[in-house]
Amino acid sequence: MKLAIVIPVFNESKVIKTVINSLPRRLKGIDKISIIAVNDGSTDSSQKEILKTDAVLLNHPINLGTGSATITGFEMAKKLSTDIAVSIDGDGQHDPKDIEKVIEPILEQKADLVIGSRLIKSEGMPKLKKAGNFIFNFITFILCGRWVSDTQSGFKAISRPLLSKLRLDTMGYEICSEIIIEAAQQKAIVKEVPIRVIYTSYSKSKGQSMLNGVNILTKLIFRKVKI
Amino acid sequence: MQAAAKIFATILGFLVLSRAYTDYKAKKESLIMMVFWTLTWVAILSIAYYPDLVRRLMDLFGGERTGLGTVFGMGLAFVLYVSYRVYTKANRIEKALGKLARRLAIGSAEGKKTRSGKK
Repeated sequence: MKLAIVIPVFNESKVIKTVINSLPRRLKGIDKISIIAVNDGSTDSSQKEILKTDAVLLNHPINLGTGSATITGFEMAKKLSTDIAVSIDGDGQHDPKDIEKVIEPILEQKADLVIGSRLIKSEGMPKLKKAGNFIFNFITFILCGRWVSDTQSGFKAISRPLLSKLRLDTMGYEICSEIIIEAAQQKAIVKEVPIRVIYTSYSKSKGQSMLNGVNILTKLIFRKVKI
Repeated sequence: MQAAAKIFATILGFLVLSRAYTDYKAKKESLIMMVFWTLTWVAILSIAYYPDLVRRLMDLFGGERTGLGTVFGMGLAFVLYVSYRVYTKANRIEKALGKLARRLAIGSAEGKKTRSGKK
């Protein structure tokens, strides 16, 4: 079994090296782990920091958005013939120990898509963020008929068969909902597992603003009507 | 006030029309788009110079029964149509850029892998 860990990176020079180095190199049931860091046109020294690690570096010449970087990472994962692709955020908010939890249902062939949910045990999450997530969950539910407790989580595991079927083309944060919508269309088994979130002042300053919600909603609707 | 509106419309019209023409000459825009923007701005400039045209237009479409609301409604519909066109075009360009960046990023990584002899 081959596993690829995809990290979209945009201006994360302060933490990216630590994030990559903290990722597991051995996991139960996995023979090979590849780390794919997609530098999405960072203007700081993120690229240099990634080069100090053993991660495969992919460079976007310009900043296109976290969705675009994630898709690039997934495409590389497909080229590396990985059996499971995991995406995690580059700001260090995800606990690398949770990777084992998100891949487990796929290893046991009980799921095609596993979402690391920050909202099953949501202690520490700001109330505004919880409210925003609920709105996105509701929008995603309207668009695909599946209720997921944390649609905006960047921590996901996708099985190879599902990865090859996904038709992803969004650019920004709407990728999170797009993956779920696509998985629902493919009638894939979607599971959620609780994950721990490491809230630091750095990770809190990252992520999407509430105002971006309007943008995400517009893009998802346009996507639904195939424009 | 009317003079200021005329000057403002003339400057904007000149900028848009010269841009439309140079874009057409440089083959960045089609003839249809150039004609479209020319007609649109000729209409705007005509109204700026002859505001009475609006009243005549309203008379043509049924006099006072039409009302300014209808004219503004039509204007709003037109603006929304243009916004829609701009949005879809930007969306297409964004997706094309994404594909290009992806191809470059993966191609470059694979190239490095081959050069270093790894498989």
